[in-house]
Amino acid sequence: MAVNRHVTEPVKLKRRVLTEVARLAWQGKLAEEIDDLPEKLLSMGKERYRCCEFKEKAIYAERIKLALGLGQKEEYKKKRLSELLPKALEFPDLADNQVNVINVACEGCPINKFFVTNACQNCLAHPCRNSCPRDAISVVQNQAYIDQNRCLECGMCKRSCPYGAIIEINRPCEASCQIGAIKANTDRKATIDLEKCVECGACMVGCPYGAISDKSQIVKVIEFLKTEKVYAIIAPSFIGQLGQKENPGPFLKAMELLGFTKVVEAALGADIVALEESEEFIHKVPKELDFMTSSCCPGFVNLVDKHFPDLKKHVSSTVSPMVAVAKYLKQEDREGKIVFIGPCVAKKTEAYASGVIDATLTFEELTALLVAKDINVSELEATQELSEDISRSGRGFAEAGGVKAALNGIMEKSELTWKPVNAQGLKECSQQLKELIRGKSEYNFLEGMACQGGCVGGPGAVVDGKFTGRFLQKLCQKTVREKATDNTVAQEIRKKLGTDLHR
Amino acid sequence: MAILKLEICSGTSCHLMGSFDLYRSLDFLPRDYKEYLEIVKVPCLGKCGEGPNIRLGGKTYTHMTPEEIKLVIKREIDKLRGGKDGC
Repeated sequence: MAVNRHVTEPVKLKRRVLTEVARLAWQGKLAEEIDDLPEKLLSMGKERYRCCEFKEKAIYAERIKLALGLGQKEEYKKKRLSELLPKALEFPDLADNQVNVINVACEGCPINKFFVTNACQNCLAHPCRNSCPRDAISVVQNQAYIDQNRCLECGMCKRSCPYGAIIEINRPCEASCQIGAIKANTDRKATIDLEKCVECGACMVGCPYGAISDKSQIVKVIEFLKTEKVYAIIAPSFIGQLGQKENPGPFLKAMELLGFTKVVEAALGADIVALEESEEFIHKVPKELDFMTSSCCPGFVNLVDKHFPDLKKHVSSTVSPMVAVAKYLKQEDREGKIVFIGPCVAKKTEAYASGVIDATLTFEELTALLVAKDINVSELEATQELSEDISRSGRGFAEAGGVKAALNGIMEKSELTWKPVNAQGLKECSQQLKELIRGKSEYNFLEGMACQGGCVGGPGAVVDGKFTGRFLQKLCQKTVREKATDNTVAQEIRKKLGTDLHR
Repeated sequence: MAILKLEICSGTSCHLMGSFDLYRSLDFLPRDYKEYLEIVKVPCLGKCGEGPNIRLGGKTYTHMTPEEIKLVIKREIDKLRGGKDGC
């Protein structure tokens, strides 16, 4: 059930902030002009969103801090942006906790969970009143009425009403988080439980006020691009993100204009991972383990770490495609900087922890970088092409079921029992993991992806995953090599990296 | 039949601000309106930063939303039709 994603007003606000911070960074004017930025951003928007311009400016200031890579910390409050800038340029907060609630922007949605609608017929039976354990329901003006001070939010009334007249409303952030990691605080503002959060970013997309956002590394990347040799690893869901449908040329040209020395598809790593992971499976299942799971989605790996710690050994020890490519690039050039660009927020933490990736951007942030440098991708004449070594199944990793399909291609010749299943979204992943624990599952390999639709549905994408999926399929149709085993370059790199391919 | 040119900016700035959504919203335009339109994608309308932008019958509109683009189109086409019917 993928939801259509739109560029709503809060999405525009975030993107405008990223673009303007990037513009100042490109121009080297952050120190001089950052304090004027909230005012400038206020004048750029067409309408007023909040109660007054003071609140709007306060929200812009917090968004700018996040764009600079600073977390929402107490010590940064009540400080001028220019005062914080020297600290920000040391990038102290990038290691973890990528998803942040902007407290001033959170409306603290005043939601009464159960609500009687006009569909109430004031019937004779009144099952709502009879089922309520707290006598919270009375009849007011010919309609059932819930006394919110007494209501326990148990939901008995909703279930008992024969007309379905009582509805349940949830805070959008809570509803979007499928693992219960975000809750209202005593002051009704949202807070993230870091013990539970897997950094999938679903709440960022879910909040209709845009009050939840991720820390950005745009300034760090711009500094690299100005002074260093920079390699980019692009996730396979890059296709179409800049508005050129299934044509990869303009994207590659734009990367060149930004100053990247070389662009490598993470799909190359996907081919390496498919080869390595299938061999790992043959070694481990069923001798050591009764089942194994994929390890390429950091949201899913975090889910196992935090919510199913007993299953950690079942997660493939093979590194993610991103890390595989980064390790290869670092071997080739120790000095060069490596930037991963994808639709993913959780990758920011995974990349940092890997020690081989120097910065991570989302596609949204990459596009802001382009706009800030006045690069218009739709005006570019491009002849660049993607590498012909990479297989269709490697590029397919971006979609739910892609890892399963890639391994299928290799495993079909194996004599072992290979029963793969895939899960998308944290709820489905949790369900599959629970069945595997109980030993009730008929499967012995689980591909887990935290986002609906797979990586194409990631929170850092510019284009709706439904469309990216279509562009990706068209690109795959043109891809000559079918499976990872057809990619000779991947096989060579895999030999070179050896045990480096394991966590 | 098409007599009104609708240019939608697909420049990177407008793309980031949701010009793709504007395209998608046209799917929901009634056919008797759609047949008046000649829809073209243009690389820039020169008002970057105020996007997403469109140009309809030569007039540029900034800060468009899927809701507003439909209103603008209907208004302009109703004007044309009104003229033709002599109302």
